[in-house]
Amino acid sequence: MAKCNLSLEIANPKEQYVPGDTVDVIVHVDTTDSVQCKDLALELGWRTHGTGNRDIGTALTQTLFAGQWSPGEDESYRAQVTIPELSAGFPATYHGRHINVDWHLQARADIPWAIDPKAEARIFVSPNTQDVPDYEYPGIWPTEPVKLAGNSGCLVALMIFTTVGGTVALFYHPLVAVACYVVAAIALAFVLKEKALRERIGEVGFGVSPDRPAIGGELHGFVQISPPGRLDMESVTMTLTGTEVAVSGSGTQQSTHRHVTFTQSATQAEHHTIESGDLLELDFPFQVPVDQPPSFKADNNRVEWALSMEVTVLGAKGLLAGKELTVGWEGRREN
Amino acid sequence: MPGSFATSFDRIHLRWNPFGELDPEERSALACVELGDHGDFLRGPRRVLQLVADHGRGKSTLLLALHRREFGAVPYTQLHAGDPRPEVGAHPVDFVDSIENLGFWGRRRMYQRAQSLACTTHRDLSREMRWAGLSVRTIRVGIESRGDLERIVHGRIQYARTGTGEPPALPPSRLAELYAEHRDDVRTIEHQLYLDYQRLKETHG
Repeated sequence: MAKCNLSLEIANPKEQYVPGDTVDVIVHVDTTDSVQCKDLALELGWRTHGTGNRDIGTALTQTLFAGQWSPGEDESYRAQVTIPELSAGFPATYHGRHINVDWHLQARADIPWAIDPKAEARIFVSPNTQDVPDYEYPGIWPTEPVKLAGNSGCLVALMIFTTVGGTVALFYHPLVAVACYVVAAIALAFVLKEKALRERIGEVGFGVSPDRPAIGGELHGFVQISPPGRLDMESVTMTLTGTEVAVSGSGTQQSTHRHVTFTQSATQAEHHTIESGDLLELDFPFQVPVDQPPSFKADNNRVEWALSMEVTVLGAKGLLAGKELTVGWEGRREN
Repeated sequence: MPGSFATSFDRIHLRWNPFGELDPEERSALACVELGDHGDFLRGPRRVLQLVADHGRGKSTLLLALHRREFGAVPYTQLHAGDPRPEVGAHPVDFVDSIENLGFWGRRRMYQRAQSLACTTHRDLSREMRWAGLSVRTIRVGIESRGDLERIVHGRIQYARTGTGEPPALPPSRLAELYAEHRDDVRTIEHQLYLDYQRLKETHG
């Protein structure tokens, strides 16, 4: 039997704690023998659990006692712990598919030459939801020029590979060399076609407001397209996506688990014609649901938000652009 | 974000999904492994214990359990591809997980310098270990029966319990089905069970 047992009691239990709340903690220690305690520490922290490797964070640690406990002693130590403001380093409690974040209060007695006794209580930490501000429509659309991408990157790689392979094969298997050059020529044709399509679309501006959208808040994606000549559009689609990404194992045994927690698409400019010299301006409003997690990034677990755009010209395949978003609890603009 | 423990695993009397990733301390504590006399073997001079298995069979868990339970004071090195050769030989035993991530000459240098060595590997390296003058013990790691799997599953569920009630049990046929399909690939079975418990959480309450 252990010489020393700990238990942890919360004197003011609540279903949820929000930043700024104070938790009254009582750590009970009962000893059956004389025990030298180097440090009776109380820690407030969080840890992840799920398919990813564990990540942990500590908000505070305080020493409640250091010294000698006598046999048969039953001591109690009180402490008050304040829940910190939530941030990327201090995420709220979250229970998803691959990622879960739980907060705990842990008491641990550092006993030399023995297994340290500990006691733990979990607490549910929520954000102050009243902090979500109203959306402020930007005076000037915050768009920046973007380069739309298709799959020309892969095609260029294929072209280089087949050209080099074909040149080597020329000395050994002329037929294989011819096949390689044909593949390279086809890849080149697709690359040039995509380049021509990009030129037809012309300058594209893409932006999002606010810079740091809020859970439960509104965000807008903005698109501006000004083609050099008349352009028949098929559509412009914008998609807001939240994804849990959990990494388990390491090295050659590493696996990445993804789960899309939220996705919403909106399509505009369907079968729309932009005349030469005109500017097409599109505003895509989105609402980030309150039951979604904000952006979160730890070593092995993260929640990613992204806004992607697909511009499709009539009779051609769509070209893409995207932006990573930082979705927080508050909708602050960061200037 | 609204919510409380009433909307999480707590309502099925679990603190978390029992089949999520564990940290090394928990893995070692929950490992259903027989350490036998491996510790005594390693305490002899110029010994090497190699744990051989494919991915997900439990060789790192066995190595961790041996380390934590019998050699807690010596370093434990997890090697990744491209890592430099770890310094060995300063302790009576060195623990190296995934030793095949070192090249042949790096391993050879390690065999020469180590007093004794416990390691995991995907392929049998006993020949090169013997050439280096080490006494080799090779253990093929893997569960041997459905009973072994049931013990692992039971241990994980017990560890995750809140103590407020009985967690929902999986149908007995589920473990048989998983064992028949994946045999000793415990990691894949655990991942399937993770998804099963996610569904249980969503369907209960």
